[in-house]
Amino acid sequence: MALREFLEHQRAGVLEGGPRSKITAWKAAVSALNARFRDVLGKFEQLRLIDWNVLRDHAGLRYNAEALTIEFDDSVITLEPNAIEPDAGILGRASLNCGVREIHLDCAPDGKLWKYHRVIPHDPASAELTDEAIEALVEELFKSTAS
Amino acid sequence: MTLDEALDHWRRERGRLTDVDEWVDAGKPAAPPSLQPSLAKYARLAKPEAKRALKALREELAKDAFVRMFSAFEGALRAAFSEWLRCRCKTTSSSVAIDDELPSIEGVLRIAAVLEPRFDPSRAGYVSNVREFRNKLVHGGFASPTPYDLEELHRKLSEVLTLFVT
Repeated sequence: MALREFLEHQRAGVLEGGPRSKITAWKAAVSALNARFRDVLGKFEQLRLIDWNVLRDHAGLRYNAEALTIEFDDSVITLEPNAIEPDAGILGRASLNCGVREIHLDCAPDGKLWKYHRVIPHDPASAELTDEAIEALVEELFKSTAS
Repeated sequence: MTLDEALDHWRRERGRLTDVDEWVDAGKPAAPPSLQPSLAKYARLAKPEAKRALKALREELAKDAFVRMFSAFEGALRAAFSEWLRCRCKTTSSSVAIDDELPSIEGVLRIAAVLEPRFDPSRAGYVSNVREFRNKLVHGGFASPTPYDLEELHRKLSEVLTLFVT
């Protein structure tokens, strides 16, 4: 009974604002982003999509968030959440990595609109992460590893 | 090391990693003898393992560069803010003497945000987040990737420094 009360109290805390509500919103946004990647890339039978979880923290609270690996032959791209509100005006930041190449994906406070920009190689130009952009970025990263 | 030097250091490290990454992608062709020591580890690994090792190294080097960059910013801000205060107060005390009496960087940021309107909540909040992440890295050792684009970080920290240039 004590555990049930504790869990209900914690859940109620989510609705009161603060770090827990931000974590909940961010986890939902990351989950939706992964679902988009799966929707866009799932039609390519050559790709292998693997879900996993990463442990992150925000304001001293640890949380689990979804991550995704995209494999093609021996090339691997990882999509994983980085941090909540590293910059003002964004809900959180995820990254797309392939070897040393890195692309940042920033989510607007509404939890829906995502933008991206290249970190390595560096290009500060930012653009909306549309379904077409997801395909193009994955193609770009895999092409960069084609020997 | 200054903020600009910290960025240059990161650019060199990033460029070196990119070169090794491209060498792995190119099927590890014969390398000049001068490069062979730094490539030896990756030459022994299969491509997927080499890519994973490079990713792990990139994350570590990015954290290292991030810590260097914040440390450089902290030193430069304390010096600039001390001089800024000295001019505002029209005191004969030296900026070094003022710096000696300033609190830790968290306190300096709070005082600076109160005294300089251009150091607005958005900028102050950004620097505060950066400082918290630095503390997490240095003291917590929590295995999160650096969430900052270090070029962007350098630009924003440099902007803050210019607010206090007298």
